Amino acid sequence: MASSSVSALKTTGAAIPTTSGSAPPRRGAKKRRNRSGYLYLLPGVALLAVFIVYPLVRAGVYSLDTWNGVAPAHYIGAYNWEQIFENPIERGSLVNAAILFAFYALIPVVLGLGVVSLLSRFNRYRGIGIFRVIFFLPQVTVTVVIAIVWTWILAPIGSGSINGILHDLHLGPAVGPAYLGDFSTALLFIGLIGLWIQFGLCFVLFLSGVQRIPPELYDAARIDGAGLVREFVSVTVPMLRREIGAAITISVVASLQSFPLIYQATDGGPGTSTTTPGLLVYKNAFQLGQVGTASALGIGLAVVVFALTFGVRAILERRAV
Amino acid sequence: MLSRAEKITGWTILALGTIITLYPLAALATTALEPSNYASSGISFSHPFSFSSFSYAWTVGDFSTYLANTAIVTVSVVLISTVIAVPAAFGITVLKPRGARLILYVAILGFMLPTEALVVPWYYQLTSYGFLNTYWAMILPQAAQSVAFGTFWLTTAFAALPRTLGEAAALDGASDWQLLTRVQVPNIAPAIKTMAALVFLWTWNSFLLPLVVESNPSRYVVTIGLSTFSGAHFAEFGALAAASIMTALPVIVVYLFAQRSFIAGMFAGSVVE
Repeated sequence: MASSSVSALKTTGAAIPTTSGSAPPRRGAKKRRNRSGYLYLLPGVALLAVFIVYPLVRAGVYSLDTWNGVAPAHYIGAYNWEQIFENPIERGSLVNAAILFAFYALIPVVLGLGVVSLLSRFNRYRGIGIFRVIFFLPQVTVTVVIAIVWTWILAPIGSGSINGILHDLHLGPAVGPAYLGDFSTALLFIGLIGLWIQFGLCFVLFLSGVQRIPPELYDAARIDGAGLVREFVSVTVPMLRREIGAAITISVVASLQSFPLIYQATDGGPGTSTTTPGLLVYKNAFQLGQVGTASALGIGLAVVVFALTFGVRAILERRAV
Repeated sequence: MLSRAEKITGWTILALGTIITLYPLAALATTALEPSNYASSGISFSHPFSFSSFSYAWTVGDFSTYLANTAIVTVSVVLISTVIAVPAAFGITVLKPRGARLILYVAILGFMLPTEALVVPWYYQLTSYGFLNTYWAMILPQAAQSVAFGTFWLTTAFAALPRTLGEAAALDGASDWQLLTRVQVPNIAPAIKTMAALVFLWTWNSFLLPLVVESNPSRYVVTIGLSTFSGAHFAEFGALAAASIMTALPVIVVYLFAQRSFIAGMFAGSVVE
């Protein structure tokens, strides 16, 4: 699954249900149910075994091999794993992923909190629902489409682009900077596209959260003489703890899965300035014939997703106690 | 009540946010309506009004084929994963055979794994099964991840149903299958709808898997078709915008109709209970 919203769901910690919908009344009945239960599970288990568990094990094996996909593979131990940190391109992709993480997760969360708290009294207005629908649209827009239109907007020249509009207003030269084509700015602007995608998600999430905060809390804070900042720190943020956790986990996963956006907008360039681990998985396995390297990176990415998801969850649970 | 300053700040923020959010989408919509032979230099706002860019993308760009392929893959994944995940979740929650919990953990693992972690072994697996360059190569792995998600998601839905439902059905002598299809499925219909909507969104949007396992343009899904088209026709802004609209619109329409279940589903999964 590739979209950023997949990610949305992938954030779940395991909310394992403990109660059953029906209580088996007799022992005999229980046995019968037990066995027939496997029939209900069989198709699902088969699909999960063949396309989740088996390939995951294969990827683990590949990651310990040097293999070009055709010739016989050779076992090389942890070499591919060491390369993640030692090879400059792979290490660089980790740095890029960390920077994108800020744009996909941290900035939208902070900005979303700020905007929502500025609107904290305003949002009791009727009609604010329409903005929820609008701001969420980037989340449900196909990523390749987003990449194409932002490539136009960020082009050095062309009507309707930032540079084109500035030129029309006599504020810029005929040919402006290539925001996505320059080593020093490409990653920044990929990040800003990520911000455009993720902001609405944070906004919608925080807005519904803030609407559940009793207005009396804000009134009390104001009577105590709290300004906007104080109100933000002592009322809005603590009351939105769960929503903040959800937004961070959703966005973290989205930032690690920016593959279609990067593939379409920059293909990792210029140079390797926007290369991410996800793009390297694709290039190593399917263009450079380095299946082992790609597999190590892919599993590494999964480990990071799990660590961040459960890490955020653990922090939230501890705070909640 | 709201002070004047608060009102001005509020509306300014909302207006600014709306402009920034909608500008790229509006740019696509207006550019798509320029004539296909109109030589614009980018996003164009003033041009003769025409649908010829759409017909150009539909026929010359072959988006009729790409959209049909995406529809085949997406509908298959939604149907397969729903039909498999509903009984699986029912089995785990209600019938609880030995090992059910382990299967639930595997399902959670399965939907949290990024495509990047599985796509390499999938490629070699699908090659050895003879599925490479067929619809199955795009359908089966995505169906598996969707079953993983659906099993997890519906397990929480089944668990939330009152126990008395099952007890009443057992007293009436209903079989497990009758309990599932007549009693429980109607009660978790909203959760099934949410699952279907999300699986639809992900499958329609999927990119990396179809990029890797399908090399025959006659079976390209629309995301890959659009990416390829944009490489060959990068200066034909009208056609490219029209193609982009055709790619994005089905998901947006589904979102507008199933808005509440979309948002609820995305967040319910992530808010720790």
